[in-house]
Amino acid sequence: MIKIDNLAVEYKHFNSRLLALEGVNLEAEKGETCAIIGPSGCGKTTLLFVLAGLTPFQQGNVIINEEPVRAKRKKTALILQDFGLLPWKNVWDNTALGLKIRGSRPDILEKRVRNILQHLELYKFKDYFPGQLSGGMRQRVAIARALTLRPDLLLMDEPFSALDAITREELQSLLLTIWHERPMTIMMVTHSIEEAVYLGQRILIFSPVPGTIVSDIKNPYFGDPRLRERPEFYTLCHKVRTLLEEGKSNGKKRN
Amino acid sequence: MEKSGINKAVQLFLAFIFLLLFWAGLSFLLNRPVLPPPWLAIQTFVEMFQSHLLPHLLQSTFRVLVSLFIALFLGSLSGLFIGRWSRVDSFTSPLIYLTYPIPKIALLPVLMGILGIGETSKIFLISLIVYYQILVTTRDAARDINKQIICSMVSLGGSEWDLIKHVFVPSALPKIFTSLRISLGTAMAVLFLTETFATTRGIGFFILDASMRGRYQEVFAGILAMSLLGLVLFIIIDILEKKVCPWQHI
Repeated sequence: MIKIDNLAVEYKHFNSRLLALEGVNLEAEKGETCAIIGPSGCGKTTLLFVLAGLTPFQQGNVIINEEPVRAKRKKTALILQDFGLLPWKNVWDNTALGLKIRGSRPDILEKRVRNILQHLELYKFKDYFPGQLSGGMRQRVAIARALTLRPDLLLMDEPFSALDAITREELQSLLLTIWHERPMTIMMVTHSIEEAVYLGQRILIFSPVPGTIVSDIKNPYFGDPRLRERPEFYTLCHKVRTLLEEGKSNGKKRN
Repeated sequence: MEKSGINKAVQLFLAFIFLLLFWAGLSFLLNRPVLPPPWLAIQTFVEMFQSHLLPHLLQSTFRVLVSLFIALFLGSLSGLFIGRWSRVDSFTSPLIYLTYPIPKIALLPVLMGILGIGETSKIFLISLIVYYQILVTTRDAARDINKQIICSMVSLGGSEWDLIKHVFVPSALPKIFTSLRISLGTAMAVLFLTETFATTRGIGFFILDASMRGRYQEVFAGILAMSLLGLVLFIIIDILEKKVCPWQHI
């Protein structure tokens, strides 16, 4: 599904240059969920934006479904930390936006948007504006909007970080349910070790900038809705934390 | 009418009564013909409205509305264009920076020389002054768009036209309305000044003419007419904003 070879991304700002990513190699299978975790500013979001075709790269290859990555790939959906909703469109129009832009037939659009809003328990709020909704509901709308596109690749940039603990856990479980119903490849950037362990079949640990993957942990407990109650959850969280700290100190030595 | 609407109407009425009392108090203290009491001004306003004031008022309304439309159309269009494309912005911003502080009202005699003493020079001047205010506000609104919204639109497959239609125009609308409200005051002031030059029609002329003849009750009847015009336009802008930008009033 995803194949990244020796990826490097450099940002230029006036006369200065910043190497954000260097030597990133990754292969992810179709339907796999990968949680990307690392220190702040290590290039995790850059990787996500490269996969969305929004950030150009200077070196390497990025292949999605046998094709070089490009912007506006029809089956890629992106969900951002601050939801990316348009404050001037109500829930229905925000959810329908992707389909509308892509010129979907009105009857298909109507049916798909209604089904997804009903499924995510948002239908009765269809006339509400984002400013009238809680953070959790706004993120639900962002998820609904992404799902209308029936993506095979879902990119999420710290999707639940702005939410309170209970809402965050509710939405994490919702995401798992959605994934079980309709498996898709998920690449999710997170700052939360618990979230990475709960939602990642694989946990990719990034080094400090220039970011690269320093550990790739297979998570055998993924998919268990009661994982948070099991001792293995805490053991794995501890392991990820240790690797993150090692990555940080190695990064300091490297710099 | 909703409860909030009634409250607003009551508040407006109370403010109106307060202003009348203030005016009456000032007139009583000054005790000179130059500031007649409000009831005399209102009486003159009612007596002269149909026969004298209305034609002048219609002429002024025409001038200010046409000017506002031109300024709104050109100002918001060029503001969006400049704010969206940084290359255009880097070329035009220094021009705006240099020309914005020019007191354009001083150009009136020159404009009359070029465009004649008819409607064109008056409408041109009001449009020009209001245009700058709308241009700068819209440009800044277009510059300040949240980058995450743009990323999210592009990832949904949005073209440049989709960005303009779904993001830039709606996000600038509330700011355009705000600048329109502010510009309205400026437009009314400029309207008055342009109507004191080489014309025999318009509320500005009516006020100046009455003042030359020392008929201060008529001066204030004219001021009342002009204020009424401003108030009606202000209310129209408010209603339009509520219709066009409902998310701003939730």
